[in-house]
Amino acid sequence: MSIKRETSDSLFSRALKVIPGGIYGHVAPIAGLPRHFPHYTKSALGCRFEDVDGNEWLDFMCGFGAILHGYSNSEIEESANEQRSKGAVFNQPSPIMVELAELLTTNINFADWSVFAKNGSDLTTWAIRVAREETGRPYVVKAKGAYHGVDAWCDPGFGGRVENDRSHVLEFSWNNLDEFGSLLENYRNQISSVILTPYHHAAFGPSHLPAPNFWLVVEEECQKNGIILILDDVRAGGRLDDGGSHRYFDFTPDLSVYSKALGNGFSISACVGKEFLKAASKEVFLTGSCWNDAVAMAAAKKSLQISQRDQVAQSVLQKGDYFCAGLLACAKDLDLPFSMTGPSSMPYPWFEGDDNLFRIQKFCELAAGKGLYFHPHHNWFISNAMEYTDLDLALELAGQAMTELKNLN
Amino acid sequence: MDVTKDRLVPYAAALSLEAASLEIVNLFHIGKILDVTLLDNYYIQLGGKGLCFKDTNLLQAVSTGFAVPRLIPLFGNFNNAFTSILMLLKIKKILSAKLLKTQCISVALRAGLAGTAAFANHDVRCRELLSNEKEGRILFQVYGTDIAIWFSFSKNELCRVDSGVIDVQPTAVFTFLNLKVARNAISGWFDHLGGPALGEAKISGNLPLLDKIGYISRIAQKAIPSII
Repeated sequence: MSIKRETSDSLFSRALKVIPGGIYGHVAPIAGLPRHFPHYTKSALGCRFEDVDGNEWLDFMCGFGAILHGYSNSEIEESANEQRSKGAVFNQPSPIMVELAELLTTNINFADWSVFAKNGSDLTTWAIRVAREETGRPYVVKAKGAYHGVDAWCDPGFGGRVENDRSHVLEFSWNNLDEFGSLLENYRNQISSVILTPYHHAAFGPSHLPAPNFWLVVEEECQKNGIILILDDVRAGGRLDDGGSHRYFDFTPDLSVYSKALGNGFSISACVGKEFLKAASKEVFLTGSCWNDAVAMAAAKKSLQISQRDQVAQSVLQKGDYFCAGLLACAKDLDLPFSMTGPSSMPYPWFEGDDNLFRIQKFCELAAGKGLYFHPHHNWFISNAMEYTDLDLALELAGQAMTELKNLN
Repeated sequence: MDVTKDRLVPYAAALSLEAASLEIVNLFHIGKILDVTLLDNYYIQLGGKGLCFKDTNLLQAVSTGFAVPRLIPLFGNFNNAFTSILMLLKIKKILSAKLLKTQCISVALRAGLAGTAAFANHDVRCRELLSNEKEGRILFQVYGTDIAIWFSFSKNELCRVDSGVIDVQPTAVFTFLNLKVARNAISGWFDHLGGPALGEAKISGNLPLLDKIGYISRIAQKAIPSII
């Protein structure tokens, strides 16, 4: 089945004239399935969206993770609208900023303070600078292939770089504690921070959970060596534990950065930290004209309250378990070598031996023809707006796509 | 082989000519392969002894279709030089042809990718981009034709460009919608972000690798002059 796409294509052609590449970044059509996904969305509600050609999609990307409670969640929209009626950006912050910081420091067990920005990148980069200010050391350690944002020290693109951009970035393979230990040894007293995601969710490949002793060793080594441990919880935050993903994996970072689901689609990011980093944090300049946006803060406050009240992380994990088990059973019936990698609330499907991704691309193409928005290159997201009936429908359609895939082989 | 930074562009241009000659011989079973030899003092030899250009003259030849070669080796090896010149003229005719013919696109595509391979092999920044890749076999094709140009590399070997049916699984596949789109791409008029979105090309397989090769190809295309 091919979808209607006249309006999408027409808009995209206009965009090409006035926007470089038409659409850029992670939502650029070439990053997904250019002729199977729509280019533009008209509206979204709950776990479904309608594209500009009127096609309806059952969504498993949730705005690439930004939507946790469902699109246009009525409670969050109400809070945002209430604040919007008073204004969004002023000369001074709104009282909601204090309330949000108080809520975060209450919800997140190690957090003594909080700052806000708009994107994950704003604060992953700032957190590294805080660690440098605190330790007086230049180097930062990250996992190979991990995404931490669009700044020059870590972006996945190629253009506009100079050699020095990454001269103080060291990398080790996820879960390889020998490599990690060697870096700490070779750069003793020179490493300011280790920045990691709670589990390895690099695009274009299977996700990897931490090995049983991974976080224990990383946390211990950071403490022993005076290194600041930064958790990049931008993508996973809110989907593994309502109090932060460190609780799911049982460790404690020094700084943690959140965005995506924090505002349920409203642009906001936050960095929380331990008391001992408060002084350093005051020395590292941080600002943006619209970063005190009270509407996004009101949305984030409500989003966090809903997460606590409804135990949303647990809920999306349960729904994810149900969905992943259903897909696995379907693949097993068809004798397809298939697994779901990563946590069930943000799973990434993987066909064994499909290192070049042809099979997952075909599967997602077939699923797209049935109105399922399954991304072939990025982990999927479960939204709490998904009911079990939605998941059953998705499993039925995905089963049909898998059968067609099997018949192609 | 080390190619100094100041000789990379003429060397890449010469390798494009060599690739074009290979494809012409492959398609038409006539002519001579213009194998490239980098000589001292900024000279490049094409097709064995006889036809030799100063680096700057070679770049003039590929951008305008004409340049004066060194005369002493030419007259000293006239027959060989003459057959090389005939092949250069054949390449010029094919690359500047107005009509869209499968063979012309095949020659131009292979020539263009050979320039990309030269940059992938000898430009520090481009080499660095591929340094973490173990191997790759990217198939470039044009829908509805039998054009099949392969850009391949492995950890221990330089990047290379071949054509035709090869019995291996590609790592990624880039399929142009038609000859016109392929021609536009070779001429630098293909929007690598917009084209696939509008169905002018289909991409599949290992896209991060394809992305890297695409970036290198744009660097090479910007640097190497062309008659197209």
